[in-house]
Amino acid sequence: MNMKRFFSFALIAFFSTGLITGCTKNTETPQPVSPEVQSKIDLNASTQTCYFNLTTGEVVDPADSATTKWDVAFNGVNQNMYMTSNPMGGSAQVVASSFEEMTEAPASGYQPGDEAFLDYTTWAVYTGSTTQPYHAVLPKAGTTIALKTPDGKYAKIQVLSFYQGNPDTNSPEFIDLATRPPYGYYAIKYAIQQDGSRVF
Amino acid sequence: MIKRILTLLFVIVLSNFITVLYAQNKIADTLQGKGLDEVVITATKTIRKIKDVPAPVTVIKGSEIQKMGSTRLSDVLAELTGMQLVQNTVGYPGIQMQGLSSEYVLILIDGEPVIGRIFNVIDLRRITVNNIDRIEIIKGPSSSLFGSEALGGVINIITKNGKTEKVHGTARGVYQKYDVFDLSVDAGEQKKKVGWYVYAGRQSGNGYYTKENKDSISKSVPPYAAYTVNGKISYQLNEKQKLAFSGKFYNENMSDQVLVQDVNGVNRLATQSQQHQDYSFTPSYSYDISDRQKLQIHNYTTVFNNDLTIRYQDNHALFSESNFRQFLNRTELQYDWRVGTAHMLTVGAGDAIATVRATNYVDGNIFNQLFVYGQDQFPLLKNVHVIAGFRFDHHNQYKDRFSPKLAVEWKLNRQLTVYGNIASGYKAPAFDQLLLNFTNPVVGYTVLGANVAEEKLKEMQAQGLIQAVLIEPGDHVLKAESSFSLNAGAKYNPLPGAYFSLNVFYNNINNLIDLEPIAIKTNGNNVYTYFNHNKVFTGGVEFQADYTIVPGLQVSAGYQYLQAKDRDVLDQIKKGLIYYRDPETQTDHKVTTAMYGGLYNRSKHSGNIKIEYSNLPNHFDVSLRCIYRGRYGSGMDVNGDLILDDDREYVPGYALLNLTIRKKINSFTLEAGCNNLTGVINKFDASVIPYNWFLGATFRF
Repeated sequence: MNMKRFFSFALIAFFSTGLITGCTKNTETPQPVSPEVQSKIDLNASTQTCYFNLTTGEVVDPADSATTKWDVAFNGVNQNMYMTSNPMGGSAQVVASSFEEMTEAPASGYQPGDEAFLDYTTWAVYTGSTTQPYHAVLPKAGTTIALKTPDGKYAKIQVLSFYQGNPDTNSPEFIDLATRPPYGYYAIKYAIQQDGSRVF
Repeated sequence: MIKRILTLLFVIVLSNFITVLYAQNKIADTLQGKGLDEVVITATKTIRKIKDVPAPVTVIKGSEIQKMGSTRLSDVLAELTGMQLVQNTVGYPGIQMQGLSSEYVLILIDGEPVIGRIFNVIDLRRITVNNIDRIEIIKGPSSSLFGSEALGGVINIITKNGKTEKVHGTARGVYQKYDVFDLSVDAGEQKKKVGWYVYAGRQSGNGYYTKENKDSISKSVPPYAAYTVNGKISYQLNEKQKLAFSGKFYNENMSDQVLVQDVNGVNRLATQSQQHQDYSFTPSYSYDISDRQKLQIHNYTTVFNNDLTIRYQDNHALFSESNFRQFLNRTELQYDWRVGTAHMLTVGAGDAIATVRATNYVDGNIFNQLFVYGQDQFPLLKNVHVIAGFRFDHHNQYKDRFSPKLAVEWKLNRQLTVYGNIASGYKAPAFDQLLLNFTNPVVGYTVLGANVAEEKLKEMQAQGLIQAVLIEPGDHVLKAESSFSLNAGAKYNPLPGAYFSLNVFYNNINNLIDLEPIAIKTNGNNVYTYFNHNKVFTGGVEFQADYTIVPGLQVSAGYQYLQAKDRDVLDQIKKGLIYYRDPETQTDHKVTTAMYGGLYNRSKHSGNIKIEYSNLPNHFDVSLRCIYRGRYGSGMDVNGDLILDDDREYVPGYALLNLTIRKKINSFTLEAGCNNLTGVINKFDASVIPYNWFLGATFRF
């Protein structure tokens, strides 16, 4: 009985590998290529909203805020924690996943503009006075932002820091409120898929 | 008539017999150091021997405290098995018992609750030990007798009374490192009808910087001066009725330098002055209706004040000012009735009225509470004794509470007793959880107390401050945090002078109160209010051994194993929802249950070894104690998940070595000692002072 079962298993295994190899060999369409992971620090949103284009990796002039030249914007004025996708066709969602684990953007569930970010507790934490470093705003570990640009491309973003210089939040300089670097400087890690697919 | 004389004679003989027994016990007691025959009142609100209490009980006598050379309650409690001092955010030491933090431990002075928690902590440095007769500690919940806060345990501080017919007293002075000066004087007398006792003490200190913070603007512990005055008088109306009155007053001033940011964003030096004050009055009446029935009534009025003022140093202009004022009046009636030969019934009822006025609190709320409790102590079988009790609390600001308790004790033989108890405890929502209305001036978020959330949110909506409401607060009523607890153990007294106890405990706490966002403000920040949702448990084993090797030489050892975890965090970890961010690579990884270290400030292992030597012929004694605190979570988060899961988030374990030597010369006792002889530094706890030496003298009259 055991032998019989083993044989049938082997048979299935043999055929299926054959099928798979056959399949891949015959397909002409190329596999989507994972986009390169990039990072950007010191996106200065401490005095006004910072608009950012994920494809060029450049900050966009605030004068162009009502255009589709930017994909994501940040605000850190007055200790604010605020992000938005471009309301002119862009959308986003906060996903419970690490940046690396997100190998494909979700197919659905995107909310237009800033709707996904309104409750900052879903993507940032304020330590308050119970956990050291006190009164610090930290990105929430294990949350990755899936974003759709106005031209329909998919991107994933991880916020690394809200402070100037992407500082080590465990350093004595950061822990001491008097020497902590200024707030409102976003550091991000991101990847944008240019071919229109959802694969990262 | 003859019958009456006979009865009287019998009573006299009996009372003499009791006196003799008592005296013998006393001798035995001094030989044993700690005795299972010692009585304790806090466990059942009736007088019982320690060995007859089916719960873990510790009694610290005044003489033991004197041998340690301590001046403040925090010092004494820090050396006990299964107890940890934990500082809150403003550096006040609170006590942790059975892994439950200080807001779950009820502190009583002469049976009345101490009020005035700041950031959840009753500052134990506020309580002097110079006027203490003994401290009774009951671990595990006692809410069935005492109501709120008695989840982790009860610490009842019994202050001294006049003892003899001649006026007697002490005067003590202690000088300690960092210019800490403790001066106290007390006196008392107990006549046939009238007894009195008075105490006055002052403690001051210059404050200090720890090595870590030596360049800081503010001291790690600020300079302070504190005064304590208490007095008691009792009057025996007749053989059966007694009136008593006691009063207490405490005042403490602290002052320190701080750096603040003014409206223009400029950092300026300022002076922060703080004043704590509390006072209380307790008239009481007791009536021994018969030798089977006793009635006690007491009324307790207490006020706690805390004022904080910050002024710029350059122009003395006011930077900020806040105050907290709490008032409590409670009346309690207790009736004890011995029914037949078996049952000892205790019933009680009372009411409590509390008010609180504080900066950022919604005013005009009166807390009204009514309570009843009952307890029966009876033998079930020949050697099996049962205590069953309950308490019902009705409160006008949160949901009613019923707290039952059942305890069973089995005397296997003269040496060995085993016991088990099941009980429920609770903690009422704190004033801020009900009444706060606070907006952070820097960050801009708002926190509202549960009872004012609906109204204040509507006001904010009307003012156009609200962008979106996430949860409609409605008329949601906060529930008390409640526990279900098990304690089981054994008390073993194989020979005179050898005492072993073992207790296994488990506390399951539900409805922990925590903040949740309910709305988003137009400034992008949240409005929070309090909800019941978290669940935690603590469990462990405690072991204590006391052994008198030869009269005068006593060795004791204690150990506690502890686990304390948040169930919600555990569930989320199991579902794979909690990630940590590796600070070096800034990549996120899943936290596993094995990585989760549980609640902050809990040491898995802790314990102590103590050696006490008394040389009676030469009138001196030496006490050497080694207190071990295993590694614990510091409250520091290094990897962005706000839970304890990284080795760098722990304070390494350490052992403190404390030595006290006393020498008696006629009416004087000279004392000298040093706590933390090896110079251990804990950078997360400024109360661990390296080489904390002291010198003192006591005069007895």
